[in-house]
Order: sequence, then structure tokens, then C-alpha cells
Amino acid sequence: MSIASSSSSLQALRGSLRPSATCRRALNIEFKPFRPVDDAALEPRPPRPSTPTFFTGRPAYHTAISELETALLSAQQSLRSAHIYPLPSTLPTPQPPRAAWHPAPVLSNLLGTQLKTNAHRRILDLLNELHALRHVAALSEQAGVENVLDGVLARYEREERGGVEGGKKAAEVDEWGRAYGMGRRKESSARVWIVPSPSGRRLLDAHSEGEAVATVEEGEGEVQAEILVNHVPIAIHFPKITDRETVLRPLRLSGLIGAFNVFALARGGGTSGQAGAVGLALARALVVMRSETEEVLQRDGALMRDTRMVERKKTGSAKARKKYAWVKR
Amino acid sequence: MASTSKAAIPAVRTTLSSKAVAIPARRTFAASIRSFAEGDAAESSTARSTAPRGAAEVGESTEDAWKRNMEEVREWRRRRDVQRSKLPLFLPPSATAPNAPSPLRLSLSTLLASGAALGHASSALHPAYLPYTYGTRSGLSIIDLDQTLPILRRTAALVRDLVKEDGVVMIVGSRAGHGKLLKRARERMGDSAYVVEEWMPGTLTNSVTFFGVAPMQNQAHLPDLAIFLNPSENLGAIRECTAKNIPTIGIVDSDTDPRIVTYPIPANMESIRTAELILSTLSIAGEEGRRLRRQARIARTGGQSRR
Repeated sequence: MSIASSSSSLQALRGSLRPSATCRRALNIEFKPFRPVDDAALEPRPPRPSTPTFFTGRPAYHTAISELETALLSAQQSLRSAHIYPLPSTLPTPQPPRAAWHPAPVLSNLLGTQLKTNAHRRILDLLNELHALRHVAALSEQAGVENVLDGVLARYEREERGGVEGGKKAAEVDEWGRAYGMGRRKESSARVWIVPSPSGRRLLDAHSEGEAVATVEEGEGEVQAEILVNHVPIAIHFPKITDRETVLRPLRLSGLIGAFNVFALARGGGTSGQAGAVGLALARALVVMRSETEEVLQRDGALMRDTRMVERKKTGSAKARKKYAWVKR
Repeated sequence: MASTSKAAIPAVRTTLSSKAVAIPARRTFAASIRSFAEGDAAESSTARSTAPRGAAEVGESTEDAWKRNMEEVREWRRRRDVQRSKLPLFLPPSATAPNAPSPLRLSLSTLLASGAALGHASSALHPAYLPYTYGTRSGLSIIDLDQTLPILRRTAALVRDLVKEDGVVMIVGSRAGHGKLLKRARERMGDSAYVVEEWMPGTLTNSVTFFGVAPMQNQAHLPDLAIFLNPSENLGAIRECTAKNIPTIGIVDSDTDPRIVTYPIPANMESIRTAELILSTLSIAGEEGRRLRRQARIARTGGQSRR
């Protein structure tokens, strides 16, 4: 242990503390003089942009795009190694369940930029492709791939507000056995309640069994079905036969005339407009009461809201389409 | 020939457990190539069963039918892979280039092979580009690669030194094929590189609108260097860089004024291969710069650096 006279005191101390060669070999250690790690000593890096896609001007959007593309590639690779991808062209393509993504404004908020058509479409294409791949993975029991894709797609999926796909709650028959329907035509609107009538029991039972039953004869005396529109019988409210036929058409198509008591409240418009509104409302109520009638009524177009409205009059014309007489000079 | 190849592949519809795979004693080259290329077509043509492929049987849902058929297909594919592994793999000699030169060992022939020397029409030659032109051939201006090579090497050294000093490089490439190149460059250079595929005007000069005032206060809203893979199509971006005193590197073609960028690299801008070559040279230089920076940091802090 010798103290070097020419070197500084610190170096001398360091030299004295260093174990000898034999000692080092015996202990088999590498001597490193201890220096406490000081935060100030570590050189701070110059400030740099926060995200890798900073200079694109739309960092969140481009990060999302690259993340989705990476997820797609890796999922395809996993499925390829499991001999699922590419899907055989001879088999029918499995249709994934209907995907509900966030609407464009929400996506724009999520991705921090006002999404225009092309950008939105690009995102949607990627999401739909990932969704289809997830369905394929689910069908082929590739849980790993499915879980990864679930994680990737979670932030873009809209939560269903409960109920069926499409978000609409199905209407039901209420506690008194009534079905309700609402309809509109031109400027009229109507509300209709239908309830099984006493005489209609036989008809309804036969209908549910799928038998074709002739409508109840007038003379049999069993008919107790009433149709009231604005508190008056239908024949008084709608003097014209065509209007009555419009109202009764859904019942005729489904073969359930006389099966229900109908109570309708119509407001607005004129006679045929109210008749159309009552007819639509009745058809909707019928579907609520008996869902098997939907097919027939759909095919007839009875469930379609007739959106034709009175066309406005234009300037320079006598009416909407009628022009003034052409004058040569 | 066709029948031997088809007979050799097992039919999908039969029960697979009972039958063994018949490996042909001799396969002709054409047959092996055809079965390789056909893939699904082969498996569809062998099964001459009565039911249409993929159809659901009675009482089976479409999903179950798909699953069942998919299982058969997967089994078929597994067996095909087993067969393939036993076959001698045919590769033409050009498939594996024995000594592919790394971008660092860039040579004139590599640049030439990528099509870097092909400029635009000689009628469109920019007067300021004349010093970089070798001549004219077939109505095209030929770019002098004897000048391009040392320029590229000097530019690579610039990138390396900048990244070594922990600078920020922004790479802009707005053509269709540039995406992959930018991704690879980003992988090499890590957080020193920021890639842009589509330039939003005002990103540098109007950054307050895009990002708010915070990055500007931290002085983290500008790069230290900009590399353009197609500068003539991103003139707005170049103007913003010059307005903010950011040096620019760009691949300029013969129809462009090379003075729009600080360090022009005279080469064919339209060729993706040339862009790949040039960008990989620069990004590998950047990677080297990172390595040197790390080494220097370790040397300075005596091996106690956290990074």
C-alpha cells in the first residue's frame, strides 16, 4: 500500500482502496468505485415532441391507424400459422354479427381531429376488417387472437343500450291485453288500440294454430267486434267505402276481421289522410299483438309509412306543378 | 400429369383418420409448381362429392357447417405442409442474392441497379440541375451517380452526427409506397425520427392551432432536420422548414431546382427502390448515431446511465 506523491489526494485514496491483484482474483470481483446516481448528473435530453406521429398534425389519428394496421397484420399472421388464413374461397364467407361503431362525431373526438369522409372510411374499413377477423377467430376457437382483437376494438365499439340489435325496444301487449300502434299519413296522425274481442276467440285460436278460417258470417249473431274511430263507429266517421277499406285492409290480409275490438283516435288532415293513418297504426298494432302477421303485412306494404306530402307551390307557377299559360310576348 | 398431381392429394370429404397420405414416388417439376400455386383450387377439384362444398347438412346450422368444413380444410393444410417439407425446395438462383450489399457499403452499381440515374425528360431539365446531370439518353436526363454517391455519404454522416447530439429528424414521404420505408426508418432510429405521410399545412408555422401553446413553450414543436423523399411534391412543407430555419435533405429529380433543399441528393425521385436505398442509408446512419450517443453517455456517466 503505497501513497503516490505526485497524484491528487483523491486518486491516491482510490489507489489505496483498490484491492490487490491477488485479492481480486481470489474474490473474483470487478472493482467499481461507487458514485451515487444523481439526477442532476444524468444529462437531461433536449425537449422533443410528445408522440411519434407529432408532425403529421393529427397524431392521435395516425397512431390509431398504425395500431389498427399492426393488429390486423399480427392477427392475420396468427391465423395463417393456425392454417385458417387465407379463408378457402370454396366455403361461404362467415358473416360477422352487425358491428356497432361509434358515430363519426364521437370518433372524431376520440381521434382528436375532425374526420372527413375519406379518413372516416379508412378507419371504418380497418375496424370492419378486424371485426370480421375476430368473428373468424371466434368460430375457429382461437381465443388468443379473439381476445387481442377485443382489446384493440374496445374503444371504438358503441355500447348497446340494451335490447335488440338496432337499439329499438320491441313494443308489447300491455296489462289489459291491448296492443298499441301509431300511424301518420299526410297531415294526419292516429293512435290505435286493439284488444281481442269476445267473438274473436275462436278466430284467434284457429289463427294461432295456423288454420284458415272463414270470416265470421254476419248473420250468425256472434259478431261482437267493434271498430270505433274518434268515439264513433267507423261507418259514421268514414262515409266513403274506400276509406273504410283502407282501415280494414290489414285485418283482411291477416284474416282477423272480427277478432279484435279497435279503438282509434285520429287527428289532423282530411278524411283519407286520417284513414291512411288509422290503417298504418292498425297494422303496427297488429304486428305487436301477433308477430306472425308481420310477413304478410310487410309484403303488402301495409307497414310502410306513405311519405308523400303535399308539394309546395313555387313562385312563377300557379301551383306546385301547374304553370301559367305561355304567352308569346 | 394433371391426374397424378390431383390423385396424390387426399380428398377432403373422406374420413381422414383411416386413410394415410399417399406420397407420390415421382413428381414432375411442373406438377409440383402447379400444386404449389393452386393451393385451394387443388383441394376443391379433388373432392367430387355430390353435396355442394360448404353446404350445411340437415339439422346443422351454417356456422357448424362452416366449422366442420374449416376443420377439414385445416387438416388438409397441415398434411400439405408435411408433404411440402418433404419435397425438395426449388429456388431459382436469383432468389437468394449471396452477398446483398448493406446500405453502408453503398456502391455505384447498387444505386444504378435501383434506377437512381433515370431522370425526367430532357426537355424538362431544370437549368440549375445541369451540374448533376451526366447526359441524355432516350430523351431522359441521366443523373450523374458519381456525384450522388459522395453526396449521399456526406448526408448520412450529417444524419449520424445530428442523431448523436440527440437531434430530432422528421422524415416526410407522401407517395403510396413510402409508408413501409418510413416505418422501417422509424424502427431503426427510434424516438429520434418522426415520420409524416401526409403533410398538414401549418404544422410547423401554425403549431399553436394544432397542438396548443405547451409544446411551443417547451420548445418541442420543431424538428432539427427534415428529410424529404419527394420534395417537389411537398413544397409547402419545405417552405415551412425554411421559414423556421430547419435544414432539409431531399431526393431531387432532374426537373426540380436542387436549391429548394439545403442538402439535395440528386437521384430518381419516382423510384421506390431508390428511395428505399437512400432512406435506409440515412436511417442506418441514424442508428449508428444513436449507438454513438449511448456510448458517449455511458463513458461520461461512468457506466451508471439509466439508458
